[in-house]
Amino acid sequence: MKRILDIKLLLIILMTSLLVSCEINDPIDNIVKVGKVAPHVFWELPSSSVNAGDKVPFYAQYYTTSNEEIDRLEVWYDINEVSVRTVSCPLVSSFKYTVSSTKTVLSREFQEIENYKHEPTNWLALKKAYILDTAFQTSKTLRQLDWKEVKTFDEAKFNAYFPTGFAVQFKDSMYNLLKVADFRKIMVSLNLMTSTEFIACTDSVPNPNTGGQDYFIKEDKKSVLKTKYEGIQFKDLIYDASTQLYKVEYSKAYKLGARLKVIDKTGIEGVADKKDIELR
Amino acid sequence: MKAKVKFYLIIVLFSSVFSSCIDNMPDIEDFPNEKIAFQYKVNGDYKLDYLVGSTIQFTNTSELKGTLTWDFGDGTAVSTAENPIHIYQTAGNYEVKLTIEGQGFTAKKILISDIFPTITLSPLAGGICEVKTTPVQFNVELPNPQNLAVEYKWLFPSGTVTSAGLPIAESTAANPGTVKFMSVGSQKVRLQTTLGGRVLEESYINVQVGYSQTVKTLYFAVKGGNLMAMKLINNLPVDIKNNPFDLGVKSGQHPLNILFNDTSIYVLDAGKQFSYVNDLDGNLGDGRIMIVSRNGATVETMLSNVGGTAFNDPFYGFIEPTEKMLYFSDRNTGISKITLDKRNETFARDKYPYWVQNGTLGYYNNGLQFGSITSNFAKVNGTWWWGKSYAGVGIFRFKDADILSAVVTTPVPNPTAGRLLSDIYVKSFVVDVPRQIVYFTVRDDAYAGFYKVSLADAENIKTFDDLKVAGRLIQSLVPDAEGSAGEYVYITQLALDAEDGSVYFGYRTGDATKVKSGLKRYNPTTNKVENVLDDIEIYGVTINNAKSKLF
Repeated sequence: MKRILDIKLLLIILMTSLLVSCEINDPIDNIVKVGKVAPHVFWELPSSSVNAGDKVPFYAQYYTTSNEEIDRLEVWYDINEVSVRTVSCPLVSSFKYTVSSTKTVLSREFQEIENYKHEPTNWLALKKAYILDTAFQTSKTLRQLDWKEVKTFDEAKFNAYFPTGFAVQFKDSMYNLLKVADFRKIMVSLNLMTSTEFIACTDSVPNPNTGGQDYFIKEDKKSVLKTKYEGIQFKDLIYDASTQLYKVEYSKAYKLGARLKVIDKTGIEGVADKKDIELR
Repeated sequence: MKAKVKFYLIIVLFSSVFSSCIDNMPDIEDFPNEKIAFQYKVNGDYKLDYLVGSTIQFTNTSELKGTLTWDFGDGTAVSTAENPIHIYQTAGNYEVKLTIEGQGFTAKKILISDIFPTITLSPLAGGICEVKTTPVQFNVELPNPQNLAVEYKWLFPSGTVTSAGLPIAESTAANPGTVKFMSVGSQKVRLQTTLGGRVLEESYINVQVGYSQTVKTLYFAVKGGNLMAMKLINNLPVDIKNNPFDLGVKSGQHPLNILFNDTSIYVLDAGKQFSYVNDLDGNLGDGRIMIVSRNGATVETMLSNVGGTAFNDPFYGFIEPTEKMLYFSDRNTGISKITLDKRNETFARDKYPYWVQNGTLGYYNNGLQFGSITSNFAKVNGTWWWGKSYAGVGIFRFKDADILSAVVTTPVPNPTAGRLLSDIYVKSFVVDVPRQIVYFTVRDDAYAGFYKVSLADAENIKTFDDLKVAGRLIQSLVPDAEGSAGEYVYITQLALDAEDGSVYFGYRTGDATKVKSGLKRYNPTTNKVENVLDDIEIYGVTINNAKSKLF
């Protein structure tokens, strides 16, 4: 009986040791964080979109259930850049050719932006919480940038806003989709061929299903057309003569991911939920 | 024997202890290490701005010690200082990497912004800028820590005049002086700046120029653009132009309906996915209802379905001011409601149950089907009108008392209000009650257009052929192809100016050579649809009937 108790005791010690001794694979630490009570905080923003450079008003309620006094509040935010790029070719008619991409990237890490002194006089008995009704600042530099309704194609801007090789890829990808009617419109619209010259590059076969003709580019003319196509400047492919605008758009805007922290005198933090704020 | 078993058991347990506690971290020096950390901040002015030329303080906060190497990500030489200072010479996104020899590294993103001028307006006499009369002056703030030479070029929109009344298009003065605007709407004043020979990104300010008299305001949601506004001015003087206002607030992905109430615009954005999708995990929803103040200054989220089921996105809506209630529909099943004071709500079906469903009306299986696609809906003289554009089409009218407590399983009589335009694929409609007229749009190719019929006549329209009767079709249209069969987007909303009987709508064309995209107005005097704004693609439209000079 005594041996059984000894072994049970030994097993309990071993199991406990197994669970708590390993700093790296510590199953208890992975499940719970043992610590002090953090202050509770809740906040609301009347607007989730502000002009860059303006202040973001907010209203917060906070309190603590521990014996530690609250020291201060801090607003922190990170910055995410959202860029949208759209390019289309108005010269094709058999299909719509538009390349569009939206990309969101973290641009600046989570950082303290403003801090506020805790004022015990801000206690509101009705809410059983302290109240903070104030605002935090945004940067003017985070304004929205739009390059739209482009009347003059600015090569430097295009290169700054679009990835290297975009224009080449756009042209190459579109070439594989072009039908005879598209080739014709491109060649004739850009004065690379007359309509008669283009027709001389094509041939047709009867289509028994439609009763009409199916047109195709003659084999020996394909290289001629390809050479002419390759010689087209990218900006000419995206020019819409009817509106006199280049069909290219770029926009860049920033979003803040903001959190409000309430910190007690021992440095324990209570953190409110994250608010996304769109800057314009 | 038992003792042997216990002995082996103990051996196994010990082995377990020794083998389970292993460091899985590869023994590689160049590997992220969470015990390596740093912070950065701007020293001096422009602390929030992180400008080109700003002095940035990097501070090592690592738990680990060792030889440090800082790579600032801009191609400059690395630093081995404990807490280095660095100045970026070019704007951009950089990654800063701190390595501790033999311990690993950590990396953080940093955004460096270019210097640019900020334009503000001096206080305006009377608080708003009024067309033709209010003098406007501009102020420029340009961070210039190195005191470099500055050149300015102001570009003014057409219709700008000097205080002497002379047209002005450009100015190279640092202060271009006082100007006035001869056009209502957003007047975009641009400023091109060269600093030390380097051309900076162009700056601009939108001066919101109001009319000289109080008039109504039309709001519209531009596809892929912003919420816009326009003053509804009759008898506009010939020397004044009426341009739209840019509220500077994104419209959303598919703002099919926008609704004006009190001082705010409620934007119902159906999100990216608006047609059928096999949303098995129920997480493709990205629609929401936003509340935008009438001048665009504030934007609040009323209800979000981001991450919810795609079909629960808010598509169409109606505000009942006396109830302080917004009714909103999903794609096809039913209508829910939310009180106007709600903010930052997350959609859940149990929280916002259907107030009415296809299945809880007597029309079910007798006109309405399980998946009848919703178009517009509205309350007209105490009766609800629910538009349907696919799989059970027309306008289904009912009163609150007609809504059944459960989905119909056995035939129930139709509501007495009855069904209108029974076989017509109605995409949008509006009712002019005082004039007893129904305006509606149809997308189907052979009949695509804007229609006008009397309320009495609407009862007689049962088939597409009935639309051919003279006087019913006001404007034939060629719709764009956005959407899919049965779920084309087309004209999503009609807005009635009840005072003069005009009807406004956004039209996105499939053939600009026939009818251009733009903001359209049905003119009751000419009985024709006219162009208000060309070459702009619009979804929802709404009117603020309260008259004002600006908003």
